[in-house]
Amino acid sequence: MPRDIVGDSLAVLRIVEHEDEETWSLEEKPCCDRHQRERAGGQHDCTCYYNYALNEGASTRPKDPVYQYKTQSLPAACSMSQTWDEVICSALRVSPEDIANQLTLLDLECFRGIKAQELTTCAWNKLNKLTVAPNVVAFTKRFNRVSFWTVQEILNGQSMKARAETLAHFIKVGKKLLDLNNLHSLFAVVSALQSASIYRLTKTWALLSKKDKQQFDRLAELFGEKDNWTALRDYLRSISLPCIPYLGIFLTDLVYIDIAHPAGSPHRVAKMAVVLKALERYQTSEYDIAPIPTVANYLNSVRYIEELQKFLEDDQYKLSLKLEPPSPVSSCIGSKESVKEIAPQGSSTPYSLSPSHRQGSGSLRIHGTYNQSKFVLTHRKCRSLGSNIFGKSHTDEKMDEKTPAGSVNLLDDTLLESPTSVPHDKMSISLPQSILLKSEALECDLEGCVRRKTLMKEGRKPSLSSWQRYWLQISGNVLTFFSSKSFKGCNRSDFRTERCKILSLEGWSATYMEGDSSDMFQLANHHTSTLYKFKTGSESAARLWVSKIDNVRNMTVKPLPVNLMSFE
Amino acid sequence: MAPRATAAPTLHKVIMVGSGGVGKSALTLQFMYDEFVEDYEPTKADSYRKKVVLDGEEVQIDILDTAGQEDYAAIRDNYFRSGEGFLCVFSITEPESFDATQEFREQILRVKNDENIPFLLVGNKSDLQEKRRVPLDACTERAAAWRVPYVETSAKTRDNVDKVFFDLMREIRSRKSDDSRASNGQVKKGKSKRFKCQIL
Repeated sequence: MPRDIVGDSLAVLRIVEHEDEETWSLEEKPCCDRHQRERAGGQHDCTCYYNYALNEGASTRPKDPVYQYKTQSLPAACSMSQTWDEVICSALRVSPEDIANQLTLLDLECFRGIKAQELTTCAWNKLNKLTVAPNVVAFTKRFNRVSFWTVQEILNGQSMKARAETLAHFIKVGKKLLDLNNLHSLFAVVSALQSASIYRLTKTWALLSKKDKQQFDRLAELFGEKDNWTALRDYLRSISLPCIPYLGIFLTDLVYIDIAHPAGSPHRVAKMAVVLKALERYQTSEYDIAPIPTVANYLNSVRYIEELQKFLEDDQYKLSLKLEPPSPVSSCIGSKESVKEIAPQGSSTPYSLSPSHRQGSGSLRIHGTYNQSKFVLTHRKCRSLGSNIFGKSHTDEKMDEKTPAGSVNLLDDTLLESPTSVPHDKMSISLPQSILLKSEALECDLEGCVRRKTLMKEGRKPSLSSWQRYWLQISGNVLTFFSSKSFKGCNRSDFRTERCKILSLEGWSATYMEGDSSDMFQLANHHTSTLYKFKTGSESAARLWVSKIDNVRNMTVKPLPVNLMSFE
Repeated sequence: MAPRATAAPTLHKVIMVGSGGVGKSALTLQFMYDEFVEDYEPTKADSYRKKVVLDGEEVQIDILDTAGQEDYAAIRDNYFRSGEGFLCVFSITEPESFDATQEFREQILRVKNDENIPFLLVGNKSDLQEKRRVPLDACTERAAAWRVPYVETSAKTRDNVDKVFFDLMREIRSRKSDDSRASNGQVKKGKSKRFKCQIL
């Protein structure tokens, strides 16, 4: 089973679960996994090129706030063991040459699969792209995954030194890719290093050797968009096969030809043929590279739900901000900044140090939109529709016919809301009588009966997925599941008292789902490519859960200033 | 190579953003080539560069449009970084493309770290009013929330095509003059906060 390396390296509790099981095992954190493995002996002898990163990880991880929840450990069965057969836990453990070689083999196979008719339709970014241009889509996906993986690997470094080392490692990978004329993966790596999340890590970049920096500059220069990608076009013309080109510019050229020379115009076919011919030539490339299955498996294990890419990037960016909190913009001078700079890391909202926030009204807008966009991700839909998430009235009578245990009356769902979570004036507008607000619920912020269905588990669709009833509680940044005692009933007493699963909300985001049934929300973890659907019984309950989970996420990522919100 | 800065007119770098199929490339081609679109050569270095007269001053516009590469999400940050102004395009017939503008806006602000970046929200395909699925109110509301202009265009009828590019160039120009004034002054205003090169 291919591992989800992204999930492995995530700094959250990892819950391993099997649908329909009563017990859940709590997975240890990634660094611990590594140690377990090491304790387990030499059975996983992957070449260790730079294993210092692992040692460093051990010393820094426990400071992570998520760690406190580990003490609630459930039976510590390690059900991940089967996935450690051939372990490569970090890019640093594979030489740049091996990474570049194996990426190239994987890219080549995918690239050669692309058919001319996929390209001439110009439909690889349309709704029907998967049927019309499946190989173009797959090739693009490879690009994004390589890029995503590069960013994640760098951010996973436990110390600045480790991150710099990984960064340098990827520059070396880039150089090897250049030597192989694999411009596709090379651009993916270069893009990763230029992504908002990595580009801003000034201190990390500062640790690079001059040689590495210069190397990176040379690589990046190749992909400058200047003068219609002249550097890249010239380079492509200058080299001989084998070569895997960056497909993107060809796609743009085709789109432009499609518009400039619409169907029926005299030059269309000839102009498109020029592009297709060039690509066909590249497709004849052969590489004399021996496959290394362990490395290929590792590289192939990068997976996530494509639709969630945006959220994923947001998470990476947040992690980046956490690793190197934004410092005052250099154009700003004055003693205030230098004082602020000493402020404890992560204690301020991003950009709160930037000068714009001291400029009066002009700064308010960014503050609003930015914070919203950064930390209330799941409300984007609502915002885009211009609706207040709590302001909508709704029908909570709606029952879901598809629910297996159809006898459950969702109207009986009970939600308990602690007084601090959502302002009452907002809630009272729309909450139906089926949702009870109780202020005495101290140990959890919100609880209620929900049904859950697994849509995606670590990048795979479960073969059998059904709606399961749970009593769900949020307290702190932890979501606790209690399995049901009986087939029906939505009161607390209908569920077991011992929890069956604890989920740290870090890395998870909730989205209200508009659809046939208005009571659903979705909980996603892009790092582990896991996606659940929840039914709550009413729209307001669903929205309440979403907002609550959001609040928690925001809290764990960046606490808002005390004067705006309190988090007792 | 770029012409020497001293000899060449001011260059304004415009970036087209938006979902696939909203007409970014059609707008670009209309603006660049008008009825001479047959002259377009996709691979030429100056295919997306044009000299125009902006309020009596000769300037150059350089348009970066990655139409067709929308799904290559990973490359966006870097080319956004190079942009001086953005035309954020959606199709008024396609609500999804309107929704997507939110993400583009966020990503641009993040990369540029500048809420005053020259930016226009552009509702394209205004010729297809009967197929309109994004209400005008929603568009103007969003533009107001972002404090950016909203313009509806039709690449097909050429309606407002020049306007969006020229309006954006004016914003870029005024922004640049603000910046140079700020950098000449003693204290920089927050408004002039630009994304400084943080590495290298």
